[in-house]
Amino acid sequence: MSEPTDAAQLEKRLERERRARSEAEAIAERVTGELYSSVQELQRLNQEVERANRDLQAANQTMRDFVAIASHDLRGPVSAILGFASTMLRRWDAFSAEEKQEFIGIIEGRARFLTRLLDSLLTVSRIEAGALEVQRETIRVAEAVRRALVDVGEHAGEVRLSCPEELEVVADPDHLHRILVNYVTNAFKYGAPPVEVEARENEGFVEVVVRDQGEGIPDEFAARLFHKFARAETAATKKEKGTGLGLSIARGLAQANDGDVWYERNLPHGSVFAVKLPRRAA
Amino acid sequence: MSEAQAIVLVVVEDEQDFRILIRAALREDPRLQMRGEATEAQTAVEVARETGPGLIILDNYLEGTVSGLEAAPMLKAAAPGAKILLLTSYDLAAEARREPAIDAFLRKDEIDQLLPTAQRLLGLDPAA
Repeated sequence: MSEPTDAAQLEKRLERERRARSEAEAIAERVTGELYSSVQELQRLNQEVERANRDLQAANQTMRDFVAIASHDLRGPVSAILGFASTMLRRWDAFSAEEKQEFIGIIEGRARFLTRLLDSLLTVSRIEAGALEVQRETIRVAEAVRRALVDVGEHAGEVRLSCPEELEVVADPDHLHRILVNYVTNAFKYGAPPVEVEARENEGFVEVVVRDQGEGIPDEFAARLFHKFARAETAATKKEKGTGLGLSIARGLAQANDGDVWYERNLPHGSVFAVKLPRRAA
Repeated sequence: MSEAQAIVLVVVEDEQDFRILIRAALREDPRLQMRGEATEAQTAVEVARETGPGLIILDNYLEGTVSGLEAAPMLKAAAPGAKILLLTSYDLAAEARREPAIDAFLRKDEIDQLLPTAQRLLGLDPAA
């Protein structure tokens, strides 16, 4: 057997090194690929964590709001219900039939307020969770306004209407109904007559505006008007207890239907509350 | 019970329902005579000065900008002989203890304790 030449040995060694390098490159490529996948997975997980964190912060805020509401708006009615019920139970015979009727009427009123508050909180939480169901239909605005006035009750006949019959929007009828009832009810509760409802077309939308002649909204409060639990300190709001959620719900419902809400001063006196919803194309 | 023996009460409370409830809860004792009501601090001070009450039942959340806790010293100055009972929806026991003008504290959901507390403050025999 002849001794391998230096050249042959060198060639073998080179070949081994080439194979080793090739294997190393393959391993490096595989590891790099795995690393890349891991980094991508890590980024995805990181985004999920960030999203979960945002959800958690929103949930915390909602919880803080709820606790604030629980301590203010729930405690009062519950104390009144408990107080009247326990006072009557302890001394039933001490009160006349008229007094007992009055006390039970107060209990009923406070319990109804609590029911409205809890319904509103549920709606707000659905809006904030993006879990609000929107069933779009073509709605004739004038008819929607007339239906809303039926729910407004005793003041319905006092409202001045200016709603062209041909105007139609595409929205969830229940949502539009709730916005309109809220606006018109507020106009009588916190504003003053005459109350006007006007519908008009504007750049692909139909705007419905509700005007009253009351004391209006203080400028410093106007910016927060559609925020949750916002209530202006005016003589009218002190007289009428509300949940502080109606306008925030109106905004959430309008936006879920690709529309919006806003407020303007009704010069020289009063307020204008408006909602716009997508007009049905002719 | 003669007028002279009656102890005058003033209720400072912004919610009508609670004014009705306080009257109902205290009616059992004819020695307690409700003579004045107010929904905000300034009127409460005037009513206290005019009626010279033995007891003022005071809510913390009032109409206007002055709270019950803030109104308490003004009420005491207007009616130095009056005991002041802070009656609120919230647990303000610690704040009430820190305010020398306030003689007792009750939460509104303890309304069944209102009469015994009033009697104790005024030194009235509950059985009489």
